Amino acid sequence: MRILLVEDDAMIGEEVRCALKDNGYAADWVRAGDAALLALAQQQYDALLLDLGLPGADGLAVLRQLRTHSLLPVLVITARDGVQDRIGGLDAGADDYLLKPFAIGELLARLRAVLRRRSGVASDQLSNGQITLDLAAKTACWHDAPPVPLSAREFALLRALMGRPGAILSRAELEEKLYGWGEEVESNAVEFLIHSLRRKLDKEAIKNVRGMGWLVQRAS
Amino acid sequence: MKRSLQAQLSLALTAAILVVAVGAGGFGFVTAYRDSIRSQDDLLMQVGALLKHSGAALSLDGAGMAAAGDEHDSRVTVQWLPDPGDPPTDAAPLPLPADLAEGFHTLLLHHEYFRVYVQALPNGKRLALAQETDLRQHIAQRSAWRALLPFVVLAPLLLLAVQRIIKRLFAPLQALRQEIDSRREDDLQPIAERLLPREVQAFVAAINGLLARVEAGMAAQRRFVADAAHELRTPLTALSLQAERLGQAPMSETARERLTRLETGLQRARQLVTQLLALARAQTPAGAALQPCSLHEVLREVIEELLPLAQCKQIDLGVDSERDACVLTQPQELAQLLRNLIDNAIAYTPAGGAVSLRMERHAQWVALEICDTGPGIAASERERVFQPFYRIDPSGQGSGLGLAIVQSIARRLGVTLRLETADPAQQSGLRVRLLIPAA
Repeated sequence: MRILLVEDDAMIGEEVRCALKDNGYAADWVRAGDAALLALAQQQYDALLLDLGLPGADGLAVLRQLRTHSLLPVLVITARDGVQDRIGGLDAGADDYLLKPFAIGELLARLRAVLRRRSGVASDQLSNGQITLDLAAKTACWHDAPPVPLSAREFALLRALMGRPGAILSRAELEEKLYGWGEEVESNAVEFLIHSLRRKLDKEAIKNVRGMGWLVQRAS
Repeated sequence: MKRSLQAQLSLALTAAILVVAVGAGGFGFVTAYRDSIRSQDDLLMQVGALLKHSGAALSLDGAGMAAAGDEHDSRVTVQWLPDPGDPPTDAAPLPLPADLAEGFHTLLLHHEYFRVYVQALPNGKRLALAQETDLRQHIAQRSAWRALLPFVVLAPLLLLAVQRIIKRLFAPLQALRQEIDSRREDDLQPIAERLLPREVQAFVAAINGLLARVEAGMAAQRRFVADAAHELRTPLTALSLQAERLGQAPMSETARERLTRLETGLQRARQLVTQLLALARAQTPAGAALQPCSLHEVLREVIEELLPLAQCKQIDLGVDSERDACVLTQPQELAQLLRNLIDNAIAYTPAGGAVSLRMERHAQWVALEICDTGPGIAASERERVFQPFYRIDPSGQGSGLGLAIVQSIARRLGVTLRLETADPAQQSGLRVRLLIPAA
């Protein structure tokens, strides 16, 4: 995988480049916007890591120009964290957004996600680092434990939670996923399913937030 | 001493009106009195002149007496004066002395004062015309009072009118004072000059100039803080990345321990810079427009974000009310305000404690309470904790900016904020009560 890194700060550039190399990516590093456009024209890349605050051509300008002819995955790095800046970056065509200061681990994880999304290969597994849900087999497993088969409703509920690890879903939202229109909602159904999922996986697998709903842990 | 223009002006005008009224009234009174006396003297003289020509033919009883006028009080007594040397006759109505010179005299006769005019006739006889002074004075006083009357009636009316005019003239100034009084401290909009009197306009223009300079200064300061925080982030990022990479290299136990301390320090510096930037942004004049949004949704976003922190400390973070409420706000900024407050609550609550949120819908407001089971904030500290960089415990880990950010955002969003004791019996726990405008 070949990555183009556009970063004007020597210290950050050096660290990111080394980290990319350490993790098996081929990385080219340029320090200015016009140099980035030149490199993009000459070389085929798998992803672009773009700092927005650049001398020469501004990062957003580089992104806009790139987007006129290319769908290259772009991860934007910026020190601006205003909501407007974020929206501006995403509107200009960034795939994701990384705010300074960041940790290398976070950068690599986002980069992997951007590359995976672009490769179009949808995994048939959902995982949050604790629970792995097999969408085809309709089984789930807790860490390294053997997979357990789930009932249709248990699967529907866990799938809803695993779709957005870390997000809290209210009872109404979960019921919506479990029942079709016109179907009568049984009281306590959600509690009952969560109880049985906790028994099959682990009592820590699904967390409850008082007054808000339930969630599965975000991958750390 | 406070000097009020309005009070001074109204006092001065009142005094001036009173002096003029008293002066003019007094002058009128005296003049009218004198004129009246004089005109009565003239009357005596004219009667004398009239009698002088027909006097020879005038027949008077005995020593002579004629009464002019019907009323006893207003009559004029006419009598011959006895020739010098003649004994006074009892027949004369008034005991006038014989040696009276020609002209006017005021005499005490029969225990009453009389005004007497002596007129010599061509035949050598002398005619005396007398009138009671009491009566004359009575008439003079009546006309003098009549001259005074307009001032007595009009002066109070004039005073009232002047007071009203002054009040009306000063009304724009009062309105201006109220407008400036009710301004928020960060509202540096120029004052409208349109409806003000010309004299005040120049003054207001000068104040507006000052406001503009203050505004520019504040904007420059905010820009500097934002730029500085922004510029600090880049080297801080580099330092953190280097420390992170250093951690992957083989090293001794001692070196690793020191690296951990270094990383903690870097983490703290990163947090400080982030908070500084947030504060600078929260202090810029309102940006995004307010919109109706679900408070429950904003809370969910914030709780999702802070849940890992609460779980680390085994703190039970949750909401105690079922029903949602719609608020009129800017959701990202409200989320940032709540994030700072809940983050604080988690930080100061000991492990195993609880942080509870409760909302309550009122007509104009949605009240949101954030209660924790931490030590709370002493009443004496509740003002100061909102000052930037103020920390109750100076050795604490926080940046000291969290509550300053909260207050700045609260001002922008029209949110009222109060710190209370959550558990008054135990004197512990902090309850932050927010009143958010309802949609």
